[in-house]
Amino acid sequence: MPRPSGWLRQLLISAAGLAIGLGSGLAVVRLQAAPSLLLASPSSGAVVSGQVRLYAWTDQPGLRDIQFLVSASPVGPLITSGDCVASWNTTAVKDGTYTVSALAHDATGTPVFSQAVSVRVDNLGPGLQLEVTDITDTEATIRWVTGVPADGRVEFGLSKAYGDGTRTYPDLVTTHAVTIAGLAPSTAYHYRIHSRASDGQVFTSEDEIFITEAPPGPEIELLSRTRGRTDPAGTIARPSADLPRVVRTDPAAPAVLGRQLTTARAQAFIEADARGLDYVPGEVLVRFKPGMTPADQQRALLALRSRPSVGDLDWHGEVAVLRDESQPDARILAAQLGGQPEVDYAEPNYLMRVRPRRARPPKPLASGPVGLTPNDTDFGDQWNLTAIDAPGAWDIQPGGRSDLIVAVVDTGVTTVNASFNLPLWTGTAIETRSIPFAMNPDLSAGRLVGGRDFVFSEVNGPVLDMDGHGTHVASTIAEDTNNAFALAGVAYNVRVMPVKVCLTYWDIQFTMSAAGITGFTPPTAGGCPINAIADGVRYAADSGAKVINLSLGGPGQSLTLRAAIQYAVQRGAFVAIASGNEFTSGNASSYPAADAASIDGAMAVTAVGRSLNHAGYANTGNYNEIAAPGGDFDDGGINGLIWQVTLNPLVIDPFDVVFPVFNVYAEVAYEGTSSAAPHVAGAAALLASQGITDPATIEAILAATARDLGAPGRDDTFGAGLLQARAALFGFGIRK
Amino acid sequence: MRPSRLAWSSVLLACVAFATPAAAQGAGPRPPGVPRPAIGLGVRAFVSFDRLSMTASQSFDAVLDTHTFTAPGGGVDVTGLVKGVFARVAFSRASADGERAVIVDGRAVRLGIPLRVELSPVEIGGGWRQPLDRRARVVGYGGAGVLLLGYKETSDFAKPGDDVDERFRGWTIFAGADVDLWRGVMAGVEYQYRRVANAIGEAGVSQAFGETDLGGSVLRVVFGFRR
Repeated sequence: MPRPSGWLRQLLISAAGLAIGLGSGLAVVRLQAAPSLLLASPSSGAVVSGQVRLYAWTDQPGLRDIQFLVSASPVGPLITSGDCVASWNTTAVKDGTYTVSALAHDATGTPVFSQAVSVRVDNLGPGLQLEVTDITDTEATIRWVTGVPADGRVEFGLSKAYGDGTRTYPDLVTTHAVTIAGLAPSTAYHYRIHSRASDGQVFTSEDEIFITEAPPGPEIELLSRTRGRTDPAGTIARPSADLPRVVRTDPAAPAVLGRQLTTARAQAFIEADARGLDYVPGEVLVRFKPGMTPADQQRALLALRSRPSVGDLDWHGEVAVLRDESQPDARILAAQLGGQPEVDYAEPNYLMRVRPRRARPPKPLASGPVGLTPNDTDFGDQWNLTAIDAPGAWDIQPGGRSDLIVAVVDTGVTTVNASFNLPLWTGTAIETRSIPFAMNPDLSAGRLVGGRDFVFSEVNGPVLDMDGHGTHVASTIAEDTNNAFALAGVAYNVRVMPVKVCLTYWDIQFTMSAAGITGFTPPTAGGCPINAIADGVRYAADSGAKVINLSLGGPGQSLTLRAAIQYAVQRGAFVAIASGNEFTSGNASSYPAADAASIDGAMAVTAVGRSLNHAGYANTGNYNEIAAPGGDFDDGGINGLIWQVTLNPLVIDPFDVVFPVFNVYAEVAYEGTSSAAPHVAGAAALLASQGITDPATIEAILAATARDLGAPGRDDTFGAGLLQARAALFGFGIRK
Repeated sequence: MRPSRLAWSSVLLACVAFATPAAAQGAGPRPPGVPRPAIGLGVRAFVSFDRLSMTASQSFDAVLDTHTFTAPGGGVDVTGLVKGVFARVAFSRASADGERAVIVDGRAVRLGIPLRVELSPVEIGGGWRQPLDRRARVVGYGGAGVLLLGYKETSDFAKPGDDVDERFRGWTIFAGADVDLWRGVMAGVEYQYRRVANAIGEAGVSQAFGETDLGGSVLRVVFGFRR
């Protein structure tokens, strides 16, 4: 379509003789070059359809003629008088990208060229709404919609050459579905669709990619779950050499890719990051009212422009995820669905963040006993454990019961020692490398139980932490202690259940590269979608976890997540939740922490620094229930942070490395309420080990035995006060 | 406070009840055949078995699952200091085992940490004794005194400063009667009210309940002799 505003802007600038840029830089450059012929319409980058008006303008009198060109071919008549206007029928050409320009001649016959603009012809109106459904290891169904009745043809293959064949059908329809069978498992296929309307107009899509599922059965063989001791004398960059790691280079590399994190979803995370969204674009969670039949549900879904089918819903218990790529603004989708009488509620699939605040440099893993109790080599750095009197608690309950399970719902805690062939963009090409993973050398393999991945790999596959946040949290809760090695954890005998619900840079980058998409993912892309967190929390509760740690949060209040936390509490699991790190950036309420105050058995945990003052980043608010050490660089520098063993950031930081290795661990310092919450989770685990099993009672005890800080009694900065693990276990006598 | 009024009323009634015969004893001629009551200093030594019910009942219930103790003890009354006036020194000791606890919504959650509570009260006081029959076999008495209460809480896993071993000062009032069973061997019963204010309540479960008094009511049975 013509862009008169752009044209007027050009004209005004030109008339004023200004060489300053009120518009784009491009416009300024062209004016400085004193062009005598400007293509005013269409504008560069425009998406056009139907009849398109071509319009040129000149400030140079005496032009003899002018001819519009589309991809160097003349369009419209040779204009010798009147306005420089012509019409271009785009329905006569295939959808695609074209270059539009104008060629004039002055009185002497000298050619005068306008600038060339690139436009995209798209005659499909609202778009193809292209999607791939029902993907199995050998089949996939490609669906799309055309604005007018048309036939269908799909080209597909292992590359953009589409060498594997085509699937066609002659019927003229607007809703198209083509099933392709005989595909290879775990393989990325390129495809492109064509539809020809009765008037001969052809619609053609861009190149797209889907990945087939792996064949049934485990593909990633767990060859060893035992581990040895990391040589503490090693350097930071040295892999944990003593681990029985890299036991196999998995030939089926894509087995860990594309199971749950599809390319489209990875792109959605990138889009969310680019646009600063706190939800997954185009995804809503919907819960229908009780008693609604599928027909009722379908009636509600018809409120959406895309008219999704009930069969397209991805059910997670009573809540369904609806993915609607035609409307990326999930708030609109939620509002449209939420207004339907059949719907209990609909909400965007909010993205929670783990927001790691890590400090450098990490320290190599240290070993050798020290004259402290416990004897972990660098226990002296763990002021945080002293602050909550963990050693005193261990006198009463040494590390908790070994059959008690604490779930870490986070970025994961790696559960295998193995390598996988994974593709990555190097900056010039996509290369496949063997990427090693190893388990935390200071968290005994036998203490990991029931790990599950809800966002990245296959559900029953290994859990892979590609960030380090989840591992750091798990270490605070349960790092091996009194083993003359590295650091200590609060509840060092309990079992840890790694539940991966958060995606970070490498999860997305691997997925994008596997799909053949070049370029680097924004380092900040990722997040923890509500549906995954809710699934993870429910899974943990159903799998026997008595304590759940949620070191994540965001501004979006989700009924789905709240219900999941309530469910977990009802199942007997205490939930510790980080209260957020946004104090200096608006101090907005963080969820699900802000929900915890009204759930007996779930606690919002804020943070203190080494001096036991409010950590500068930690949210304040009436939902804060208890404080725990979260570290604060402004209160003691690097010695004021929370040191635990986790993945060494030097070898996984996307700013530093192209090919990461996930088998190198170090002592790493974090700050944040993310680090505070696991202290409470650990203390709760100790209490539960003492036989205090009711989550609400655990919460009450932790609050009643906290050390009052700030204003007397409960306050918004510290809640009930600083967690005191020993006091919680020791309780009260009559007088003291 | 209601217990205090009740106790004082008991003492007052006892004193009034005993006062009239005492006056008659010194004023009128003794009827023939009535033995002469003991004159001059005497001793009443006894062992006692107290049933102690603590005023801070919620606090003790929370930790010990009871707020009553059986407390053996003993004492000496020196009688006849001035007419019916006597002085007393007595002691008893009570203990009970329980668990440390946290109060949640008014209910106690026991934490499995063993806790022993010991009470060691010493009474120093005096009162008035008054025979209640002509032969003075039955003697009633009432009095008051200072209570020095030794109080201990000891717990497993305690660190220095966690346990309690302190002595508090309070007061007690009492009234009772004893009977000469055979040649000075006597038995008796006594009611005692004790108040030890502000001994608890600043921490511990007593703080949660707002209880501050380590006193209580005592029903005492005594055996001994009197001369």
